[in-house]
Amino acid sequence: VREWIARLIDWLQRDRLDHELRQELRFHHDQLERAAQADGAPADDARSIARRRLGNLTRVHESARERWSIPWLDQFQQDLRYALRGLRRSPGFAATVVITLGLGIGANAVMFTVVDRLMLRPHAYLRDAGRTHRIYWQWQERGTTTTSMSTEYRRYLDLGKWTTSFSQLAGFSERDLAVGSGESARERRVSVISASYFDFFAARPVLGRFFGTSEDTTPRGADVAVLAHDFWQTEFGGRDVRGERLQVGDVRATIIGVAPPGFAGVNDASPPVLFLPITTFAGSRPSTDALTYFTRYQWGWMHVLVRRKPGVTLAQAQADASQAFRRSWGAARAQEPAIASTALANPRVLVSTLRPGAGPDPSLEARTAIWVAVVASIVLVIACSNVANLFLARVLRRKRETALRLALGVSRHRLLTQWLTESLTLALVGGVAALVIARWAGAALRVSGLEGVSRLLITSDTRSAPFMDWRVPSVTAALAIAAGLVVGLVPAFWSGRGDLARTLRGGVRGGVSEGVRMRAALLVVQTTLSVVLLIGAALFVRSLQSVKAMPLGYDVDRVLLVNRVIRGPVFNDSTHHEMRRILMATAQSLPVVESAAWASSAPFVSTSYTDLFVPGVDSVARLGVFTYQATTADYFRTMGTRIIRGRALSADDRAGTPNVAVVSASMARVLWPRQDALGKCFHMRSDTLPCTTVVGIAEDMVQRDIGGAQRYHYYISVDQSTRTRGNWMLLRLRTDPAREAQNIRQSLQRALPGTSYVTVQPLREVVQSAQQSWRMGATMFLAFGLLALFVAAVGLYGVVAYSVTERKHEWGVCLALGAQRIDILGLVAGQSVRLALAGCALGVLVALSASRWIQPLLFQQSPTDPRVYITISAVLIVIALVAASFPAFRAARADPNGALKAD
Amino acid sequence: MTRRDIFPGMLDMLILKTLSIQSMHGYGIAQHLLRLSRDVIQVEEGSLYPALQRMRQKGWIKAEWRQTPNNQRARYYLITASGRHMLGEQEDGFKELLAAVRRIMNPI
Repeated sequence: VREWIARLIDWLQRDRLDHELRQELRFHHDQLERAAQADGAPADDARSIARRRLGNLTRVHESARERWSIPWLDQFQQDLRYALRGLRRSPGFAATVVITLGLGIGANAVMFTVVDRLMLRPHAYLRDAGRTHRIYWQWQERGTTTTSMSTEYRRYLDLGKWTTSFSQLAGFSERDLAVGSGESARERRVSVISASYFDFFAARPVLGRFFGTSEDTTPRGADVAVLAHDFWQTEFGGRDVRGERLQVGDVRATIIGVAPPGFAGVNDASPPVLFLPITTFAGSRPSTDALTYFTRYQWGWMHVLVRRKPGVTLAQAQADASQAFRRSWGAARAQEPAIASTALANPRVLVSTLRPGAGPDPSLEARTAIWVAVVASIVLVIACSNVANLFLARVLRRKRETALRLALGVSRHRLLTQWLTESLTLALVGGVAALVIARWAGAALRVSGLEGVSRLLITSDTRSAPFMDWRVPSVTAALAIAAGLVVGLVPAFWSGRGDLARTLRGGVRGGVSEGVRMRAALLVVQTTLSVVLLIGAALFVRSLQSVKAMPLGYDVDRVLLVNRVIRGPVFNDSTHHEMRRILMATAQSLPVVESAAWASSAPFVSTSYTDLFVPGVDSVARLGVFTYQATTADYFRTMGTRIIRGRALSADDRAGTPNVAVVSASMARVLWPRQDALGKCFHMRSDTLPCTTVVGIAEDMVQRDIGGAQRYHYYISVDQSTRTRGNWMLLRLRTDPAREAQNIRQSLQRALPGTSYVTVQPLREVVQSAQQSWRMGATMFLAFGLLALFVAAVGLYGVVAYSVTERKHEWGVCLALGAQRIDILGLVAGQSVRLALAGCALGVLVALSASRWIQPLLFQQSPTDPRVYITISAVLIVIALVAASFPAFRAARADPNGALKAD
Repeated sequence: MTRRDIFPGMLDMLILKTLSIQSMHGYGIAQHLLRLSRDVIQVEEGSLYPALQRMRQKGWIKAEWRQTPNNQRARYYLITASGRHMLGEQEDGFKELLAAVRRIMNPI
């Protein structure tokens, strides 16, 4: 290898080396001559002796310079010059190829960036990635398998205690906490991590130190924080912050160090601003969880990272972790007998990939991304077949030139390499265009409101992620080379055949029909794929429409969510009530606020869940998941949820009065079929506790899962709830919440005592992010589908236009023989419509057979909806007609006189 | 004295050996080999210069332009560390081969 590199370097400076060798040999010659003279030969003789000795100078020179000549490289240089010259002569062709391939490859570069971010890219600084895994917990629940990354701290301790397969374990969680104090306080992403987490990475602090195990202890760790590099730079100007205090959620932390640039742990999708010991965070919660999180199995909130010991296989590790989980399940059941038995739940552990997108339970977003990536690759296939078509046309146009060169003895191999050089050059330029397009697409996506996708794209070129930046360019280059080979080889193989002599004899119009079949086939392939993509796009767009049109059971556009983040000393109930009262009064005094309510949570944020016991129902849990929310009286008015029967909760439902609840219509139906639910009663948590009476039935409300079929939900009074205090205030506004959000936040913030903090968010934003995967599917499918349509239309136009030009003479003759112009119009248009029809038929077949797989990604939309199939086919045929019409009119305008005179 | 061809591959070893004593230009190397072999080994320039270029590309020797004692510009060749290593290996191989040939020629 080294020798070849040296050879390559020599090749680059071959002219200088030639010159030096010549000098060296002249020196040699001089020395020989001088030696001969010294031996007593006369000057003339000496020269001839020297020349004789040195033999044929040119031969010596030639054999030495072979060492730095690389013939194929010389030839390549020649081919490259030839290709560039050829392309300069046809800039339109070159531009079309570069743009078409640029779009095709660019689409793939975009999707590779997304997929890479979601599931492939190794984390920065991660050590020994092959043996590092995330733990996924799996168990049976009501007949279905539940897979979850979240678990309890106690379970994490159990896993460490009862397994032997892992050399390292770390627990971690990502939280949005208010960082800073006063007006500068902002909600920011914070990583709460065990001290062992740092050992998984080869990262060293750029300032100070990381925290150690002595600072990460139960019940509560030390109040220390490590800053992320970016946050340190932007908020602290990179000064020495060691020893400074920073308010993080409920913790007043001392800064002890700064992580190196780009270090985000395993969460690089939304990098944290700082790292807090996990026990410090858990131990400072303003709830009973702070005291029980390390002994009880109640609060599943964190993820676990493990490293396998060397020599332990994945299967062994999985078996080991699973037995620990079973043992731990038993221990949890001893605490809480209500949970299912170990035999029934069959708890298992999957030791799997760090990136959840590639894990056993990928998000809908990740699955949609894979689909869109497949779509992008189809766009590339279309682009390639289009460009291959163009190349084929070019090769055909040069057929006589080629035949002539072959006849003159140029080898076919040489011709092939020349064509490949041309196609590869164009493809690589297309690759560069693709990178530009991909970059631009990132910005465009951000504008279009696809934050999730654009974040994945944008973060790849911020300075917080300087790692692995070669990944996208190298994939792009690989795609470009593959595309260049394909589009270069197709026409090359085709044109390699044929009879030389006939071509040479054929004259200008020789062999008109050649290649037409091949080009038509390529065109049908393009149309087919475009139809498939457009059908997919239409299905996604319709599904997004259904998602948007779905009744949520509340007004999305009028409600503002206010989250109260309590900080400072742990509150008792009376201060809670007081603060709630102050905030409520402040909110109600604002003229834009129509009504306000407290709730334990908000739709898509979280729901609460507890065991239910209903007289006359054997196992409520078997019927489904029943979630609840603790609210105040005005909740339904604020959310705009209709009470179908009975009454809403009222201010009179206080502690001390009988417990009441409002249930969703679905819940009433499933628990008390064909009965009146009003007045019925159920027990929460345990059947020995007092019963809760149903006083009202509300319309169904989407609480956590748009796609989910079950809407079993009930509402209890905050004042009658012992568990939740209600940290969310819901405001119904008279105007657009997005516009008023910051004013309201400031008014509320001013009214708040102490260091507590409020955040505001329009409900619409929360709902939109829950619709993200459909939105992504619809946008990307549509973008790529239209791209495919455009490329296919250009291809169709190109083919028809070319064949019209080739048959110009024929049209003229037809007209001279009495054909009407309309006949020619029909002939040309008919050709393109026939191709389009064939493509549509094939496309519909392919789409129908693929519909099964796309079904899970759609929302209330049949993947075989005939309306979609018919509309798309019609659109395609119209496009084909339009694309063919320009050349068709040109054909109809052919000049019969010119045609007859030509020969 | 009759001139004899050398085995293929042996030229590299001889050049390296020569350069391990002193850096020299191409002419000097040829003269050195001729002198020490008492005119038996005469290297063709047609083999010498390609061999020098090959060895330079392999990184065994380096080339640089210098003034000769007679104040002429000449390209001198220097042995590199990897060249010395190569020389050692070739010498060992050569000795082994020589011993083997001897045993065959004088089987006692």
